[in-house]
Amino acid sequence: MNDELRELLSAYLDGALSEPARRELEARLAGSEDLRRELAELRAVAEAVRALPKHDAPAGFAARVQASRARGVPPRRDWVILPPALRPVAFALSFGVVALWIWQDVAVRKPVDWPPAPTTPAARLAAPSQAPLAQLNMSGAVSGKPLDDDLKASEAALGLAPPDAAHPSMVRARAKGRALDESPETAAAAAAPADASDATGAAGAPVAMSEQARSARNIEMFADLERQKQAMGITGVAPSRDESGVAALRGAGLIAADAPPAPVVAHRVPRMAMAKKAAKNKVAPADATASSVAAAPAAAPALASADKAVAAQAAPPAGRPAPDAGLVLTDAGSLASSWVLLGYPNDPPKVDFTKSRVLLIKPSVSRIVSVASTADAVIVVYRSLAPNEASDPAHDRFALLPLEPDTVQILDATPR
Amino acid sequence: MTEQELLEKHSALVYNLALRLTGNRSDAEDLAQDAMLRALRALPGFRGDSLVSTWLYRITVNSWKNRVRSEKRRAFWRTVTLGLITGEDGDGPARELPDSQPPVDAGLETEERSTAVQKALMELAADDRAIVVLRDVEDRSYGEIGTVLGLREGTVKSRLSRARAKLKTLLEKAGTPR
Repeated sequence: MNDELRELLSAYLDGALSEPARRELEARLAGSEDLRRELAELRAVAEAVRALPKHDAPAGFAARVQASRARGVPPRRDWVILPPALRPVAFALSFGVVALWIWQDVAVRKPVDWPPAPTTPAARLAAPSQAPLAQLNMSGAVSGKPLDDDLKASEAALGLAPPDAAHPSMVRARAKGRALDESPETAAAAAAPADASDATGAAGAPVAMSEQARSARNIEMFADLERQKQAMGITGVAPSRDESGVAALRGAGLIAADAPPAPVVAHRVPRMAMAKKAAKNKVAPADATASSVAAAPAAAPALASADKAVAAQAAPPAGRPAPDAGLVLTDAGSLASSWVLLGYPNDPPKVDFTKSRVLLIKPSVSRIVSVASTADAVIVVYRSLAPNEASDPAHDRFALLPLEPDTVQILDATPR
Repeated sequence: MTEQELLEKHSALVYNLALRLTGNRSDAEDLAQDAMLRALRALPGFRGDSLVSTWLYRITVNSWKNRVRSEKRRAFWRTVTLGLITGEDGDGPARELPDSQPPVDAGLETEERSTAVQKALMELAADDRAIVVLRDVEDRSYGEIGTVLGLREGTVKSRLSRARAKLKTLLEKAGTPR
């Protein structure tokens, strides 16, 4: 069966042949058993594909698309590394870099001017770093034997190297060893010729510093630090950055009573998007009271004031801070997608986002106990469900929050 | 047409095409979402010169072909990198049908046969698969398929014939139940 005939049969199946072509093919079909069999087989293939079941879009598909659109998620990129428009530029740049590299290597680099080989054995050791290694090796090769005792003695007399040294690096290593093992004077004396024998003069300097000199420098640095601390009124290290901690230290005499407040570096560890919001918003005071939390009604979450979720900075007695346990949402799209993503059934409650926002508690086995407002923060308290305790996401893990103030504290009040 | 109408009326069309092209549910949903996002963005500029369905098929098929190209590129570099490390050629096809996923038509009465047909479809080249799906699953004319894929009608006709012949061979090899 040739391709042309098969193409005719395929088009015949689809009713895509012209009238004369169709009549001609039908005449051929009437006279050929093989052709009829081939047509039947092709028809069976087309029928098999046609019989594939149709599927509806999965549940929540449209909501997820809308949520992605509301979040401004762009469609997937069509390119992998660079957009097509930038590829010629990238190619030109990479070509330029390679060309520059070759040019630097071939045209610009000057030949190395090796200094002339030192003529005396002492001079050879005086400037080892300037002489090519081959020349140094050659000195031994020419003489045919290692440096003899007379030569070593003359070099020692010139103060260029210790009597048993062959290379400045060994001299420095020995000087360093002595600085640790022997008296500082000996170490300094041993280090001196090393510096002298180093052609650059700088490379040997840090190594030549004696242990005593190092200690002295450290002592001076500590003393300087102490002076700075005294100038700032610090007499001890504060374990906590909040005012109560400082007051406790002051009471214990660790901080001078008349000293100005010591500057404290906060060391919050931000977490993803929530922490970005936290950085923009003011930090909740450390003593955010739990009393207002306890006073809030448990069954009907009250409107309180807050912005997006901010990590609670303190640990009030009402619960443990759990900044990641909830999501604060400000638009219907985010609410719809979060609702679906958290696996909560049905649709989320309708919310007027011009007047309030929504907090969703993420643990699906939890219940919001209270939502309360203070001057500085909204405090949301939740707890884990008891075994066999029924729960409804729309009621238990959903709360309306007001638009102000900025901070939201989420506390986990599950008994431990 | 509003965005809501587009989503409500045509999500199934886009998803079903994506499912037959990708051969698995998760890739299909990913592709369908991507295609719908593109369509929603382009909706204000849609002048109705073609049928909405043709327009959506085109967006979906183009998104899918871009993915196939990206996957091939990744597979190539994976092969090259692995080859450098292990010294092997690693001459395998690009991943398209993860074994960990259930068959697309799992649980249906015709599951066995549908799975065999879907598997044979996955063996076809990208354009050929799109032609067969658009013709035999979506029941589109040669002209419309040509518009979706940017091919001439004659090309669609000959490639469809070749693709059907290949499918026939594949299904015979697999011993597809009829």
